[in-house]
Amino acid sequence: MTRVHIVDDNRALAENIAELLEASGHEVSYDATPEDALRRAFAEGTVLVLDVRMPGMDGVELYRRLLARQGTLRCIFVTAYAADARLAEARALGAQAILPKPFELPRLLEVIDAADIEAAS
Amino acid sequence: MSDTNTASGAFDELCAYVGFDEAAMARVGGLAPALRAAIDDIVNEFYRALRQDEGAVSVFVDDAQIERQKVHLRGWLVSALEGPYDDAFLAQRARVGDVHVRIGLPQRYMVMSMNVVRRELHRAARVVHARPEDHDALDALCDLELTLMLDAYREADERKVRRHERLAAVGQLAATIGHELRNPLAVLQTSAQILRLRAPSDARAMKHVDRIETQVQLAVSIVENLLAITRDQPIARQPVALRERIDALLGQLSPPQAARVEVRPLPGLPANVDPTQLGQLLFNLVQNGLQASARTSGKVRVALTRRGDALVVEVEDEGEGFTEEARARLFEPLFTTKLKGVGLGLALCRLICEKHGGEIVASDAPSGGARVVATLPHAFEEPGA
Repeated sequence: MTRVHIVDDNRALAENIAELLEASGHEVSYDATPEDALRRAFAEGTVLVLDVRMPGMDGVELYRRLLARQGTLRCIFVTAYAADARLAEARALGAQAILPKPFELPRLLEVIDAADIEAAS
Repeated sequence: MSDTNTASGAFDELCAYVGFDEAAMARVGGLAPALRAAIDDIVNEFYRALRQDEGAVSVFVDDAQIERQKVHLRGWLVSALEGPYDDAFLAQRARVGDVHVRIGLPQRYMVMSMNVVRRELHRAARVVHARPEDHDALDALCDLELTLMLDAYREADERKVRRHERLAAVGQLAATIGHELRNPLAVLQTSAQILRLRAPSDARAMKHVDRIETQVQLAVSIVENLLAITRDQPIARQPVALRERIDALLGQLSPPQAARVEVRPLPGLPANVDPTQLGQLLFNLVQNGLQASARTSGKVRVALTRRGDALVVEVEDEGEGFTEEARARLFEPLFTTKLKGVGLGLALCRLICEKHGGEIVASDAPSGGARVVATLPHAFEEPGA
């Protein structure tokens, strides 16, 4: 079981991913805006699943701010724009994986597990 | 001049430019009977010269083909010498030029061949003691013919430029739409996955979940093609194990579809190509083949072979084949013969081939279906060669 927090401005997608991850045994929460996510404190070991392009603040900026506040947070980006220039910064910040949308559930579970293994080692 | 020796304005202008005026036409006409008698010698000398050129020999493969070409060349020479120099003359030259472009005859071989004709016409004219003005007239005629042949190459280049412009214009908007479709597709896909988890015992519901997932996959492949075309990424060659590529391709298809794909034995050596783009090429060609022969549930045959240093990808289906008109436009973006289709798959295939320095050609398969042959050169080069 991994704690996963999803942020995607497409609420339907955030809810769907949450439901699928819960069904796979993970503990999941989600927000539909980056601002809401900034108000939270994340438990040690949480894996973030962040959309990249969101109104107001993009996922990369959100990750940067969350990292500044609590040193270690693992993060997987999901994006409809696989060639986005912002993804270079996401990698530089230490993103665990970048998945193009749409993605198959097994692929997402795989990268969450990989993120978890990395944290444990 | 007789009335039949007339043609449209552009042609007149061209004749005037190369000096093939009415006087020159009359001089060529005067020489025609003597030169006609020498046509067989000219034709034989033409192919003798051609056979000495390795590059040209590879274009004209076998003797039977050369015999057929000789008939065409005779006819072409007769009409060059006797006219009439009218619109039909022009149209026939344009057709010959298009054939040269289509079979991939390099422009330099065409120019070389035209020089052989010119040399041999002068030689035959000298035998009958033609006057210097007669030789000038023959030169003007040869210049005219050469210009018309070069025009075919220029027009092919212009078509290419138009194609690129059209793509660029469509590109920006289409790319945005493609990206934006990914979000709703992701919702559809995850919703289908949730339904699969919640109602696994409802077989009829699962059938519809299958359909949703298949159609989402189709929509995703359309978006992927669109983005691959507009992104136009440079190729990154690396050794690709062909067996793995084919297995990945079959994995992308539904099991009944995959069962219809017949793969010929593959070269054991890895091919040095862009793996993603080879995957896109194979997927699109096979997908087209499957759709074309869907009604008959016919086979789609895939052959990957090594020819020299090139990887040759051949895909044949058992559908209805291409019409002449379709074949001419098949690889243009947004052209499609399908009732439902965007017309990006084959355009992307051509782009991928061109980026590898190769080409893609469509023809009829012996089965009557369609056959598409893509050639990716430099896939098997020896290191340091």
